[in-house]
Amino acid sequence: MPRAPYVEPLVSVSRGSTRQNRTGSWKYIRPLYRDAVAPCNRACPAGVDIEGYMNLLREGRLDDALDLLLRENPMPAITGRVCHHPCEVGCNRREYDQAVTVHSVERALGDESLSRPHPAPPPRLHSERVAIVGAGPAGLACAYHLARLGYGVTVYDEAAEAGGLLRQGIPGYRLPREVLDRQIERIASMGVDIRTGVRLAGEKAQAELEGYDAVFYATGAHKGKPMRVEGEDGPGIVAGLEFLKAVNRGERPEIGRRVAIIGGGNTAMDCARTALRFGAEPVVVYRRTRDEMPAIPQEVDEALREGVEFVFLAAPSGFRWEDGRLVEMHVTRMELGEPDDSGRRRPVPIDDDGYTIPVDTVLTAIGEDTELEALPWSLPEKWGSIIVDDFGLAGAERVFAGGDVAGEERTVADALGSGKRAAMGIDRLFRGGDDGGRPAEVTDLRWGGDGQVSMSRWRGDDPVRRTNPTNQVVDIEGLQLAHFRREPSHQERHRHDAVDFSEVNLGIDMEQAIAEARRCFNCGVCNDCELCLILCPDVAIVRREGGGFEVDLDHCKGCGVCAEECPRGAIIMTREGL
Amino acid sequence: MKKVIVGNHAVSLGVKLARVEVVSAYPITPQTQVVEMLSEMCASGELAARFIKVESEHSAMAACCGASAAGTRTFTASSSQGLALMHEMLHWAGNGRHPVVMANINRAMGPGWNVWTDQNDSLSQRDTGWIQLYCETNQEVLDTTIQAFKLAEAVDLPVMVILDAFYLSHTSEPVEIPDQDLVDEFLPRREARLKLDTSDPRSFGSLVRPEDYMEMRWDQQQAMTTALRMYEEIDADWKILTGRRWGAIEPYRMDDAELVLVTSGTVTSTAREVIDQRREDGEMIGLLKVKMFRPFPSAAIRRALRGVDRVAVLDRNVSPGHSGIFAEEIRAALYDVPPDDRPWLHGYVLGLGGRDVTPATIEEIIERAWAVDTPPREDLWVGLKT
Amino acid sequence: MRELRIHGRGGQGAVVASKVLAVAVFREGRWVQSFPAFGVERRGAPVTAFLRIADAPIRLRCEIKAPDDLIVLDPTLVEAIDVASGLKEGGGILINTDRPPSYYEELASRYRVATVDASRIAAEHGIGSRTQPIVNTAILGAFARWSGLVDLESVCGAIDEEIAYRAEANMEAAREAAEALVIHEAAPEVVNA
Repeated sequence: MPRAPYVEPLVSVSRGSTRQNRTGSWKYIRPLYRDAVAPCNRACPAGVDIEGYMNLLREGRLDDALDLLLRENPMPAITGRVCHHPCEVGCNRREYDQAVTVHSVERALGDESLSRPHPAPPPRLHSERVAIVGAGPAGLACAYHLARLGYGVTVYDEAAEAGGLLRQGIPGYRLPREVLDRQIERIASMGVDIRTGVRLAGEKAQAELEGYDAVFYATGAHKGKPMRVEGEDGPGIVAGLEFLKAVNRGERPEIGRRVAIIGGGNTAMDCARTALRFGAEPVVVYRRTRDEMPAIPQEVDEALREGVEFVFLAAPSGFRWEDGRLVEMHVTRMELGEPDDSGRRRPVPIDDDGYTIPVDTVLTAIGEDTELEALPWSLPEKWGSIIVDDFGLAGAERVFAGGDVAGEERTVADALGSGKRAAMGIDRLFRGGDDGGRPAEVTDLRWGGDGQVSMSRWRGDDPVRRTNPTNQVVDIEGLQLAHFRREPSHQERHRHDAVDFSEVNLGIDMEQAIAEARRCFNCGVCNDCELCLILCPDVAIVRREGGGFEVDLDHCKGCGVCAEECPRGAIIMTREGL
Repeated sequence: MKKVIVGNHAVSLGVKLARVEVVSAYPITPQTQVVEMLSEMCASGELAARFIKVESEHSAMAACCGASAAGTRTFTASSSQGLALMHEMLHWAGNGRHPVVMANINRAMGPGWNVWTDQNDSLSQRDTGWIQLYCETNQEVLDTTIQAFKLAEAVDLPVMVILDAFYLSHTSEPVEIPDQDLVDEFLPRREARLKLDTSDPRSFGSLVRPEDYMEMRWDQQQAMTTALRMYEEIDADWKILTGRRWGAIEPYRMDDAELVLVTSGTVTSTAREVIDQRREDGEMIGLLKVKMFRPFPSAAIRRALRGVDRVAVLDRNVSPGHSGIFAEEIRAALYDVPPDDRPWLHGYVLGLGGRDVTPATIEEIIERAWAVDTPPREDLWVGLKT
Repeated sequence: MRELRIHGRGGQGAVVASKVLAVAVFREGRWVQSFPAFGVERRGAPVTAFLRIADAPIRLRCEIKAPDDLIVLDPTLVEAIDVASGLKEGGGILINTDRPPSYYEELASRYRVATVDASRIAAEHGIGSRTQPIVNTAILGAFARWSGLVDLESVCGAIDEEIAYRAEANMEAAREAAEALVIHEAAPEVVNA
């Protein structure tokens, strides 16, 4: 083998280190590492740090991911199944290839938490005791957060078992009872006293609640809205929610073969698919089109796949009975007009004769009203909802409210968020501002300023290392997409072998959940990807002790490559400090 | 193992056997298959290399310079306009002494737009400081690709392995593919003498004042001279391992030849066929194949051609306003031969833009070279339509 | 040395046919060189590919202007272009068609013409689509038997080596096409075999 004479080529390489050249003096702007807010976090009505737990899960830190999730959300195994996941609509990745399937990751984490022994109850730090009326998601969330803050909590519910609409309204094929039971058990194990079968109304309520330092009302909305169609109180026409409640109590209501469901929300889908499971032939009658349906799209897909029929642009306008039995529903054809307040196009009747649909039963699922008359105190209300402030305080001293009874958005996640907000309000009532620098402005607590509140921010014990945090939300324009690779999301498996009451959606396993977490862009938050370190032409990025990076200002000449190339928008160029 | 493969894949397989660490390239006809195969190998893990996608050939060569400066074994491939777009960065690789290896598929420069073979693309890069090696067969392509890394890294100069569009790039023929162990023995992992080091950052390619610049270029010139000798050593080693050697130049049937054709690339093969026949008929005719164009093996060419009566240089290229480029270089090399021993030199320009060079084309050149009885004053163009 | 030209249309696999045939011949220990007509290819446009076969290394590196044999993958080309252009006197033409060789009266008077319905055979083996079967492998089976230049099993071995997708079906098609070959009975005297 020839041996090349060992001679260094004579090339233009500086003799000394480039460190001698303090190019830092050239700059007129400098990079600044600053964490911003991912749009999923802002979109989450429960105020979960989604980006944060995705990042921890990506690193394989399962325990830390679970801890971060459970700080904000008391029941991820449930929201992972039934939440309408607006986080995924907010996800920047949606515009790149497919949104991260946050709900399926959340479900996998939730199931993981339930597979573990319940943790030891948090220490009781304070003497105050709080009563919560209603053991639905809002009440349970408030109880959970208060218990974690160190208060004594008692939850009352008139139903025989806790869970509220989660138990009464949502069918088992969507939310298995074992999951619900175990999740509630986990909350109860934190020292929360749950008393079921107790109806608190009127004077009895006042007497019972007198002994508590604060009360949180979360009694929900249970009364089916009227259709305002003649004859709607006649036989064969039933509120959909009542039908679901009966089924969830274990009854089997007589509905006949031809069942029409009026409405396009999740209750309508639940009614239709439940009716189908009783051998009926359900038809969903909705006055707008599929695009405007408020139901979770996957639920609509499943209903269609199972064989539910849909009639769009139609509204009931009359009924006919024969021998006291409902036989026919008359519907008016609709068309879409101008957008209404909700932004959806308003359905307008077409002036013709319409048509009839043969029916045995009609289930109405066009929304529910609250029943405020049962409240022990009269509280200011608007359109049937209790008016509350940013921290859930209703119009009376020490009385808070949340969930469907006080909310505009009637979803499980919103209920969880309102329960958390009220827990903060109650903590503030007792501890005020003197318990150590809790943010005074609610916007500082909210993700992105207008999202849901963060308990970590309230407690000031965020376990995530934050660098110059701002509340600014990073949109897709703020990302450097060239550094990502297109990769389809991990989709949940669905069981299609039989249409019955066992769970249809089988979820994803933890391995897939970790793979999905790796798809997360971690918008706005440095995840130590090192690209800035690699790309800085002046070797002016240095690792910081304890993780993350900092800028060597003696050598950074302010070129901006790091900020331009940061895949997640966690670096900005600024004049700060110059 | 022997396989029937196209020349482009001979390049890719050579690159794989060389255990290249970084590939950056931009596709262009007729080079595309080289890069396609390499990107597949990188994706499958068959080749443990980083494939850097870029938006142009200029960027490809910039990426290669950076990767090479970081101490990695680096490869790219291009052709024609793509190579021309690299021009600035070719100087960077040459003067920066980055031992990048490139395969260039010889393709005519446009316009007129033309994807067929012609040497003007690589010859236009003559003065960029790259070693240039022209190949005749797919076997030579594969062997030269592997040799190129050894040569480049021995002298810290970039090497261009050059093959004819279609006549090699897209032609399938049997090629002996050496075992990985053999190549590993021949070509160990690169040990860069000078490389970027983030723990001791230095500036590469910075300002060099008039006091120092000439020395830098002199060093490059010396390295080119070393490369001439080094290639022969490397080639000899290759022969020990594989039984094959190619030579910077290859004299063919030149014993007592009165007329010698000088060729490069695939024209050589067709010319060998004609020469064999003519030799059988008793004609004193031979051939000199030039593989290495930079550094130019002037001394070896002088030794080979000294005393020959007539030399016909076949150029599949032209320097407009002057002559065929090989003819020009050989004419200059022969000036050092004493006049009595100095052959007449005939330059022939042929086969531009992929025009087919057949045995008949070679025959015509031989007839014309015999026919004249004074040295021609200028190059003759063969096969022009009238 | 034997020189072959293959005619097809872009997408029919003429280039792959030349490669597979080259590998088949190479497997028998001879030297080969195969290449497409250099240029720009378009689906449906006439495409040609070439093959040289010899007992020694092949040094000619130029186009094939006067082939010994032709393979025609698409019968419509016989009408569309002068397929026999440059074909040596008495050379062979193998055409993929459901017609008998006698149909090509003019060609058959000067050359050895054989036919095989490779389209049907390829379609029956599900190679390509029913309307656009890929006939290149099937016709090579017929070519092997007809020319005697290469063994049918060498062609099958080459198919196995070169065709990534459903090699088995392609090999079956080649064997079947070898059986289905129709040779013109009144072949002219072979001039330069």
